[in-house]
Amino acid sequence: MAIALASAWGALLLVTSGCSPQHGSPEFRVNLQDILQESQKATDDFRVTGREEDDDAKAEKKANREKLDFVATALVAAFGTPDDPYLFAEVGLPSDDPKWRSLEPEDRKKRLDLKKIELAAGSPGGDREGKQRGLFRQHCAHCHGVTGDGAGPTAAFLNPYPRDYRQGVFKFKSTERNAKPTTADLKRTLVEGIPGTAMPSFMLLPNDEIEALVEYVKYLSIRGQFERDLAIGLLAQDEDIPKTGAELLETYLTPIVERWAESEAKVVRPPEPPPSDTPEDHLASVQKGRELFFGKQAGCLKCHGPMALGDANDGAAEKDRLFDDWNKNKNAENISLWLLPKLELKPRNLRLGIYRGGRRPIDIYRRIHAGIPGGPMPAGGTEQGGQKGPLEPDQIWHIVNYVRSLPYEPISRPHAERATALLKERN
Amino acid sequence: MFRNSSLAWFALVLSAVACAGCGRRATGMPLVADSAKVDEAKVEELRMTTGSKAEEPQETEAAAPAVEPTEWCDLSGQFVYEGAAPDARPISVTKDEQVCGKHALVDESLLVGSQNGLKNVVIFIATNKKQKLFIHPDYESTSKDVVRFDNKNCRFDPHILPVRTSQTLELHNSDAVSHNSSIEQANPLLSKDATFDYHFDKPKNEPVPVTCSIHTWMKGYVVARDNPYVAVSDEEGRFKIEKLPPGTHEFVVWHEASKGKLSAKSGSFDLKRGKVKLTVEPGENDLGAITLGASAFQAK
Amino acid sequence: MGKFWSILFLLVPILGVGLFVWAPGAGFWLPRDISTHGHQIDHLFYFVLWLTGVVFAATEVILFWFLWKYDANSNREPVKYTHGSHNLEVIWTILPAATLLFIAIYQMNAWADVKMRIPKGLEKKPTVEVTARQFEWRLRYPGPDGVLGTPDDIHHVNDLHVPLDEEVMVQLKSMDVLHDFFLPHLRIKQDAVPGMQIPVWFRATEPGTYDLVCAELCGWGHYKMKGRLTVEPRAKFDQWLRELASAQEATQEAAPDEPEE
Repeated sequence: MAIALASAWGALLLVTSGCSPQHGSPEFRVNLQDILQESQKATDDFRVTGREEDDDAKAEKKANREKLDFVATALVAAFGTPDDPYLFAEVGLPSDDPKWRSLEPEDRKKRLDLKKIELAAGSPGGDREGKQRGLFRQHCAHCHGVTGDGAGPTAAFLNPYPRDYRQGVFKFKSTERNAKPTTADLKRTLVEGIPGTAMPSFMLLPNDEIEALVEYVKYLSIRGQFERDLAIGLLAQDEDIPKTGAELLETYLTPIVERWAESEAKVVRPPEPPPSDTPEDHLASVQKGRELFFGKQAGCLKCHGPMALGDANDGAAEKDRLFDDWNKNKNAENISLWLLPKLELKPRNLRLGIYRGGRRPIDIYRRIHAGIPGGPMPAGGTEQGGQKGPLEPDQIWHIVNYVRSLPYEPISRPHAERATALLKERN
Repeated sequence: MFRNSSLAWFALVLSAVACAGCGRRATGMPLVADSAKVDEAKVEELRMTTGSKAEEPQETEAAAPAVEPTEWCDLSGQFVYEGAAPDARPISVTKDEQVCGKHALVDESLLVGSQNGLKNVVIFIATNKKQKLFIHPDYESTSKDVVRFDNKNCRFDPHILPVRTSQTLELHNSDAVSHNSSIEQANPLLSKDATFDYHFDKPKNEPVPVTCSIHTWMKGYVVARDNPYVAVSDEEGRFKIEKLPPGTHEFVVWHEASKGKLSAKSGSFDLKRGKVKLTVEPGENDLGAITLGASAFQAK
Repeated sequence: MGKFWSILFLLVPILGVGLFVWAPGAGFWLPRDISTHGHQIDHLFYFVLWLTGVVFAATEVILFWFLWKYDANSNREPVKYTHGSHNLEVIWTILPAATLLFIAIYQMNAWADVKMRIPKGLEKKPTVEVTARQFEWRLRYPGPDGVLGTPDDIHHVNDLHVPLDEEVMVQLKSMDVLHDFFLPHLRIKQDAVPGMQIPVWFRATEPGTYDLVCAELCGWGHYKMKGRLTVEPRAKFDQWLRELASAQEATQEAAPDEPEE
């Protein structure tokens, strides 16, 4: 009898050994990687171990702990939890709220729509009306993580890694280099996917679900940046702990929200390209683009390689390789903080015809003009109302035409020859 | 079912072992993350007070009201590298060899001079919100200057450049080949003789690195502060900060090749975790030779 | 007790057949067939269904009858053993073999029509190149020049359009792992094999939107690797292609008009 009981108990334990406290509501993950690195602290700086040199050090550690606790508190206050999102009225409102309707259009544009965020937040499943809820966790969280840190369970198998929204940096957008993406940019990424990466197209989702996901991405990005700014302000720059919500909002949150609101104004709108309707004009433009590509002014081949295969750094030592900003500072000292291994960034192989940011001429123009933030691709164009860059818009259009012709140009017989031959024929 | 009780015990032990998997966290993140406590009452308070005007920061009840000093101090010293001076390592030029290979470039992260003077040690006043920092009126004339950070001979010139938030940082390219200067979020492409102006809106607590993605060996630093009291030691390790207000200030001492934060003790100079409190009196204040042990550095 | 089990066994064919009788009326049946060769495949399906259904029902009824008749509680006679019957063994080997052989030959035409007899000249004229990748369907239409593989090709994703009432040829490829191009309403199912370029052809006879799903396990996202097939008249199809082509050549982007809510 005892044996039977024992084996029944054993069986029960075995069966439940798969259970973990993870079942239930997930929580947002603290961004220790960035906080510790940028504040130049270690985990021991938050824990009184008893081995401190003096009372000052102990007091400092206690203060650090208090600050970190405040950061966690402020995050819940300002953003809620994955199941229960919240926003200050100055940051976002539900669109069926009378306060939303009474806002001026410009004020409305500055705010997030909390209704959409609620649609995307929470556990996946249908609600009583059959509407799909929990969209982010259903479609996105396995790669992008519940916190939007690009380190979900699937992320470790991917190259490139999924976007870490908390950095506030989005690579493929229509705006100037250090501006945020517009809502249309994020929507485009969702609808078309990013070819050449693991980001699929969500074209077949209903429009309201796509918009809900876009809003949630913005929510996670603002939250992530706020977490960093607050933690680094308190820990690295010795700012005081804000006493009221208004102080918190004004010092740390409003600047971020405003940057998002002004993204529309920072869209790169290039002038019309030089005419290239006839084959000769087009070939001449491609030829000019080729000269610029290989020339000293733009120096594209220095990273993209002499045959535009993206192989300029192949075989180079580790310190000569290129990395994204968030991979650059990973080294042996801070390895315990990494969420994901260090991954090299190779310059694009332009002969593949795969364009992550979009294949339209305007997309490629924007890549060259503003560069790709978060990575080594520099900005070659002149920023609106800003200082002159090395490349004129016409020159960028020529490079665009050359780049778009590259997948169809055999390495052995480049366009230059064809262009020269064609022009010779005519004379 | 079971012939003897030892099998039953085995089953029990096996299941206990299987349960050892319970409750383990998904990632190996340090424990401090899990114990960041959320104060629910404070959450409510913060949410309720978003409309209230931020209280005016209390005027610090400083011991004495802030008074503009009439006399000013100069601070000088010499950072000395203790130990055998390492040779500057040459850089293998992997791009634009015809242009960049001509200049015998070396790794500038740890440069020790002839008398063991340590170059490129940065010393600046730490930000102190509670105490007003008076700036000598002479510095007014240079407060709106344009300061040049040059791409020259395929290296950054100067290697470390102090700049004030009121000034304009001018990134420039004197070379015949194109560079790009990646600084914070910006990364402008610079063709020959091109310039790009950059502004810091807030002072940075650490020197900001600047890199070039074409010539990946190039690395320089910009020290962005809101006051002019920054110095970078020269080839002999000597530095001088002029016209400081008298009193006790906390200084940050930084070097790019240090393992973590610097610590050193030289008489009354007590550098702990990169910070040191110094009292300056009107006139010359010479700290003398400050020795930094070789074990504190690693050549990168 | 024995009779109870016999009745229970009888329930299997009753419920089984009953389910198949009820299902079509309740909507759990084959999707609507809008293709020209689908009727052949459906016919084969029904043929095999009836054949196996009849054999199934007969076998089950015989099983029930033996269970009922030789129930131990009502049978006190000693058990009679048999040494088998050679003739019976021969019969019930040859009959199924012949049936299977018949089915194999009977379906050859349908297979050839769908998989082998591509209409003349169609191999050189793909309507679209579909490249399956985890977890979407990448489409490439020949652009205005009508040739696939030139700079004016139209790239799209997941949203497959084909012209109505025309022979359509899909060039099927895979970018990474095995997928399966499954159009339920057209009775088309073809594995996309990495490294191979497989032609798939069909003619759709009714306009509308239909499903395109992946039918070969390709990873964690296989369950949601969906596309949408739109069948529309040739004029609308051409119009759609033209719009995509010009959007792809965009050198300008107008400011979006924000509709006020």
